[in-house]
Amino acid sequence: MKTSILAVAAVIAATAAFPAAAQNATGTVTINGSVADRCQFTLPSDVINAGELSLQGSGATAGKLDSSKLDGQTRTLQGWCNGTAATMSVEAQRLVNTTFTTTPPAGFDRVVNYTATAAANSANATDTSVTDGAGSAVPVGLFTGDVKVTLSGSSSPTSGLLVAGDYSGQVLVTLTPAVTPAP
Amino acid sequence: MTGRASLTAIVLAIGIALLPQGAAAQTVYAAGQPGVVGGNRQLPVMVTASVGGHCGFATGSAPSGTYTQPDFDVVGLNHDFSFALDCTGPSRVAVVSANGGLLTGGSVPTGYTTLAPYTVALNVVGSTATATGSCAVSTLTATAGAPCTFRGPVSQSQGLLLNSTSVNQPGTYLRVSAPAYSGPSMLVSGSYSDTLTVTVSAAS
Amino acid sequence: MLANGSNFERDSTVKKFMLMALGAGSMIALAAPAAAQNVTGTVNITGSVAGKCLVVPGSGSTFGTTVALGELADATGKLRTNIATDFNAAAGLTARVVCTTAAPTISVDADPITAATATGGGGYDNSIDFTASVAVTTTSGAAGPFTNDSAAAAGADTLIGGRLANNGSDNIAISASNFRTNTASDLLAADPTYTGKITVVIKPGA
Repeated sequence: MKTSILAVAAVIAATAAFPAAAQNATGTVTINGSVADRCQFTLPSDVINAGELSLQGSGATAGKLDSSKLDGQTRTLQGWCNGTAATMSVEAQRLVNTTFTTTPPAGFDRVVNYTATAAANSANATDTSVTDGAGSAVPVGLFTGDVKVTLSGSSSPTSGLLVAGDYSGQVLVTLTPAVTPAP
Repeated sequence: MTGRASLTAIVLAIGIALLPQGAAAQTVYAAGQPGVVGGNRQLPVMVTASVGGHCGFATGSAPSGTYTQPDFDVVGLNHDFSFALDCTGPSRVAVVSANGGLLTGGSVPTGYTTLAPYTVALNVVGSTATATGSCAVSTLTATAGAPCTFRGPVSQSQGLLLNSTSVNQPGTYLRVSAPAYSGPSMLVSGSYSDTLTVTVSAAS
Repeated sequence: MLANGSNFERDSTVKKFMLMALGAGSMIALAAPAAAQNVTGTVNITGSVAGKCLVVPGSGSTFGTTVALGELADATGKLRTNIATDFNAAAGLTARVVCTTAAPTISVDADPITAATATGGGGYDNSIDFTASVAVTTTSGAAGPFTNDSAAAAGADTLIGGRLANNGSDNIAISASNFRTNTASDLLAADPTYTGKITVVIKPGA
């Protein structure tokens, strides 16, 4: 039989009408999270009981500040800051006589000043109680561990006799995480 | 009178008589008879004839060939197999599917299938009419429960009826088509096939 | 010799002629020879379905979700202990995948949740490891789980063990566990962007 043009023997080649990919099925679970900058004291406070602050005996300095009672006093707090931009500052608040609260007569002091130093992660922040407010903040960075507070340079304003009574002051150590600008 | 036989004129009567009338009476004409000139008489002979009807595919134009569609599950199926009839009277065309769909081998669990559906359509062109029909290929198998009206094999009373002669008419085709497969069962990978047998007959 | 003396055979002007002796009204019927017409045609249709894996519905090729865990550290600065609970409660951890093949494979790769810029050290970690786990349902039941720890290399393609179930329900389920820092006492370094990932690739296989 002669091959007729009407006999259709069509072999249609594959057209590239569909993407050659889509062979595998791929699942992707993206996990997002964040960790906010934070500082925290895990051992946040301690007490220095300096005891008798004045020099004993009967010499010329008797009754005046015994600076050895405060100088060199150290306590170690524990804390951490999780961000590289964390800073630390310290505020030394003078010791004041809480029993005798009026202006002392001439020759007497009812205030003891000192310098406080906080050391953490190789950074040192200091402040003197002579001036109100905290000292300058220093970068402390990412750390977890000791915050060592040391007192030094104690003095009384007129180097006079210390009025008898209870004296109280405090050292405030502040750890500040980085301030992230609001989005 | 010589020995030569007194011959009557030999009349050769040759009759191709296929009709029941059988052998006719022989008539002899001889010169001198009325109406006979020179011994010849011209007889008017009535000859009539008829041509018997026929129906089939035109020579060289039966449905044939192979349509191959890679990735038919994605791009679908669409192909016309053209053919031509040579029928001097009404005709019928019928189709039988071997597999009831495109079939691949193996057995598969629930949720998967090895049989892909498609639609078979006929468009038969005659001189004064065109006949069309369309069925799911699953209804074209020999064992289909609710068979297509033009399931084969064809007979004078079974098949798509074309109520017209069809000789030298273009435009007749069998079309297989399907959209991209959409489930619910998943077609398994592999090669699929089906064979359609198309038959034609004079219609009664 | 005829009576008149002529030789019929030699002299006769009678020509031999054929007479059709026909009865009145009879006909010559020319029977048309039975033509051997072709009444059967055969057409073949062949096609193919490629080996492939698709996400249903839609026939796409990807699935997944984003799990937002929020703040990863607790009040002590360490990794929250309820991270796994939060992760596994997230939406979108299941999917429905079907493959045309009988022996598809799966691979799992977990990437740790790592800070974008912060570094670790000195009691800090900037990365959280975990174990990703993928449970698969096949036509013959549960398969897996297929796991990968973020501290290990990416998992290799592994035979799932059968055809993926195609019953209208999700057949892939992802979970995670064992979220941890390098050391239990590690604090997490601050960073606004910690990102991790689980990648699951299902291939049609041979």
